[in-house]
Amino acid sequence: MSVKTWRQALVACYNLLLRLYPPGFRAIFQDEIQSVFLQTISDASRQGVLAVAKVFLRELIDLPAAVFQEHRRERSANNVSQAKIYEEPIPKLTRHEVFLAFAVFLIPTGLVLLNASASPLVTTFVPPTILVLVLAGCVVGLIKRFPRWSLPYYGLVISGFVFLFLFQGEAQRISALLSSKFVMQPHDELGRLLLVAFWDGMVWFTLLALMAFTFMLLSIIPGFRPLIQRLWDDWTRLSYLLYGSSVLALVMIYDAYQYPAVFDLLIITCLAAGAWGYLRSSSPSNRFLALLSGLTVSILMTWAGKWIILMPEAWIRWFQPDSLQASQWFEPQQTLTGLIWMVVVIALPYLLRIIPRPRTPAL
Amino acid sequence: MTNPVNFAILDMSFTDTSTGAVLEEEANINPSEDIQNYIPLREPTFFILLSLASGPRHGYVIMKDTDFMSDGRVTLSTSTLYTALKRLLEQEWIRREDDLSDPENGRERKVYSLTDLGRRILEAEVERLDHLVYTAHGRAVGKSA
Repeated sequence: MSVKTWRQALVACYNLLLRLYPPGFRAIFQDEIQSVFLQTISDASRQGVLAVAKVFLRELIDLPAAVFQEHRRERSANNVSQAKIYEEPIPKLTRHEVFLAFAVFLIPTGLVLLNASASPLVTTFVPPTILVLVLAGCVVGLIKRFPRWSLPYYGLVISGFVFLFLFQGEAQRISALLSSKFVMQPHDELGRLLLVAFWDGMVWFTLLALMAFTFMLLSIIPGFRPLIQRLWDDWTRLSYLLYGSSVLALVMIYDAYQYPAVFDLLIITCLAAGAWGYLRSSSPSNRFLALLSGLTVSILMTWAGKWIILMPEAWIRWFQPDSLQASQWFEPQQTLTGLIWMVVVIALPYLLRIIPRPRTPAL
Repeated sequence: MTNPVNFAILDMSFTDTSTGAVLEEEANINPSEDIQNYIPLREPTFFILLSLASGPRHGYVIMKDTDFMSDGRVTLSTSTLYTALKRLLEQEWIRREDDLSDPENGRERKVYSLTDLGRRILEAEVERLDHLVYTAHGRAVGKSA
């Protein structure tokens, strides 16, 4: 094989290897690198095959490190530019918007009051107030093209449907089915906890699937495309929407314990503080951190409430007729498994970042 | 062994001191403080900047120049050269321009040249090396005579 043939083969091979570089790097330097390599090889070929082989070997040795370095740099540059895309100025909220942003956290409190109180005044006024608030939040959100503060309303509506209608009816049937599949010992608290954790996970993933299905349907309607696009652009919006679902979930978790009004108030205050932190943060990581903090502190409060305060007799009878201690162990742990699921669910929208986003002129 | 070409290049590059004041304003860098953060330079970077000190050059010429100036000790592959050039471009130590005078297959070839910042960093590095050599000579190390 002549030196010329060698040279041509090596240049072709090198051109193929250049494809290993990231596209951004190739777009700028590929032609130049090819030209310089060709000149280097041409120079070396005057000194024989050995010199050509030496040049090519040097390239082969240096190439992996250079390719790795460029991919790493391109990736970090993309992360920085993506972070800049997601970075948003903190919106200025009007007084009404601030009220509506926090009203969503008052709705579950109303439900607790309704449940606890036998007063005709409460039973008369609380349900229509809740309905009006939910409708107002959803309608104003729709008119204003789904600003951040309105998202928990939609989460609340979907979770209300899932928790109160879809799973309430099915709960007994599925519980019976699970109990028949997994035969447990009378004091197998761990087994029961795993079963409850599985059940919790099923509820949350049903909610998530229902949301995904709803958004798929909404994406067909042109009026809802801004919402879909915004959710796609900033994954924390979806997390915030799901945060709205956790409001109802938490109040339901702390239902029928001692001093529910006090604890519910504390839980909801923590959630509202998380929401405020979310609305006042400009970067996605801070927004997510605010939600995570709100959720964690409120659940830990629920956990402490269950752990410290003795449960009403009715609950003890329902869970473990003969063991107060067992219930005291089981109930707080169940709350913590709930926390794990909630954190997983509000963190899941992060996966949207991995899926390539449709490019829009705005970006 | 000292390569006389190196000093010739250096002399050419450091004669122009009139732009110094303008640069400081443009780059907004405190010369005594921030430039020191960039040095010492790695050897390939130093030779690339040194190669560009005498004027704009093509990638291939930079490779050859580096090989020559280092007496064959630093031989850049195209991968190493262009990774370094990209980094230097991003740091704005060098700039990339079309070489209108020398088209290749109908396209303008690209040439690289030092920016004011790059030149100042190179000057600082040479000063540092100069000081090291001066100190070593003061202790009667490395004197040829």
